[in-house]
Amino acid sequence: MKVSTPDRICARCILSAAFPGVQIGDDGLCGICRSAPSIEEMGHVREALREETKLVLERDRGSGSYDCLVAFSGGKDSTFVLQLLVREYGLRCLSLTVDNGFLSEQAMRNCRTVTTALGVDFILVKPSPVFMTTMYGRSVTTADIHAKSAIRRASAICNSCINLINNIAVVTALEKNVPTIAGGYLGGQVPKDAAVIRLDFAAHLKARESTMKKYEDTFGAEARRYFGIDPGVIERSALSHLNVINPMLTMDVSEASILQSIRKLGWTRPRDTGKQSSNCRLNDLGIFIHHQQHGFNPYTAEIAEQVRFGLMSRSEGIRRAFSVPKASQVSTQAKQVGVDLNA
Amino acid sequence: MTTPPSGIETRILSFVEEHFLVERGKDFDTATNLFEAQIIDSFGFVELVRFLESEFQVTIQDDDLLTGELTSINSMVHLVEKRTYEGIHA
Repeated sequence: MKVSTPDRICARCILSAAFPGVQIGDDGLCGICRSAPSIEEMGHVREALREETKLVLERDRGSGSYDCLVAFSGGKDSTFVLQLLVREYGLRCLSLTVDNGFLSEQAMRNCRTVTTALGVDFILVKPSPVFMTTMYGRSVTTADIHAKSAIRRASAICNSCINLINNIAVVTALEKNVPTIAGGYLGGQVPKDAAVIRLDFAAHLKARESTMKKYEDTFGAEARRYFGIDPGVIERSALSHLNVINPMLTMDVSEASILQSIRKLGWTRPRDTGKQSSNCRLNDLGIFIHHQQHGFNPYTAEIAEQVRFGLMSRSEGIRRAFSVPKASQVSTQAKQVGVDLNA
Repeated sequence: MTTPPSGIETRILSFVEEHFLVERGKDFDTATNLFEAQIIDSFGFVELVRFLESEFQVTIQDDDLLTGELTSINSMVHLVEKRTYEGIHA
């Protein structure tokens, strides 16, 4: 990895002017940190979000075949979430893994090991590799495939994949009448408002209409199978809405604590997923291309949030945020999804 | 004669420009459907609703997007004014 730290970064987090919308003021702070709560205040915010999460879960506990469907990537964060919901919240969970064709073999072993250790039902969905490689390749070569602001959350590759996985999770929850979906997203990946969301189906489909058309135009008509929701599925479901929760947004927990906890389940860190991912072999390609196109690491916001609230040291944050894979490290994956790194 | 923007419009515009990395006049105007223009996606919709509710102390209902009341700056201003009036006169 090559590391290149900008001259001026925020004194509290690690954002620089390379990040969209950020300016470092005379006080040395970025705009986000200037208005952000203190670490202690953030603890109270998270506590309130935890209570809100618990209320939602308790309200719908027992109403469906399962209490919660967990979008389970086999990575460290979703493993931690699955464990939390099963063991601390006592929920009947259904774990759903989407094999995008680039999951590490160790991540797949982690999926089996963890779901066995926790005693949860496990669904594995594997979309067509032909569609997935087309999707990934065109995600990086098509301008404006996602909303402009999405570049702050993730790479184009990851944004497409996240949207696909989220949709498969929603459809599965509808089909099995599971009232709540849980993700393992961290602050910075999703807004903190996403700790507890009430998903109204009609409004959700309306908000996604333009995106759906863009996906069909870009990825082909098959995109509707993966990104769309058949109205019949909604009509047949007993659910009137879905709860979407992201428990990591309610927790003050460092990566070291997460790893210590999930290793007890038999979770082992993969060695082939790069520095920022613990499940996907395509992740470094997304980072490389994003940095080429936009000038910053797509994990910057997530890392900045961790540093801002004391969950990651500043030096570690700087090292991770300003490390970018080299072309030689992602050339194989680029070929696999039909991307020419020299274009 | 152009009507000067209200405080509500100014605050909503500021939020949209800052959060969605767009510029009025260049990327959109106050009548632009921000969803059709792919300025706001489903994550952005969550942020927008929370902003409107906390900034203006109003309740956004599920139907508001379906009825077109949350699609443009103009419609959002109208919705906030309507909900504020309803709240005062409830």
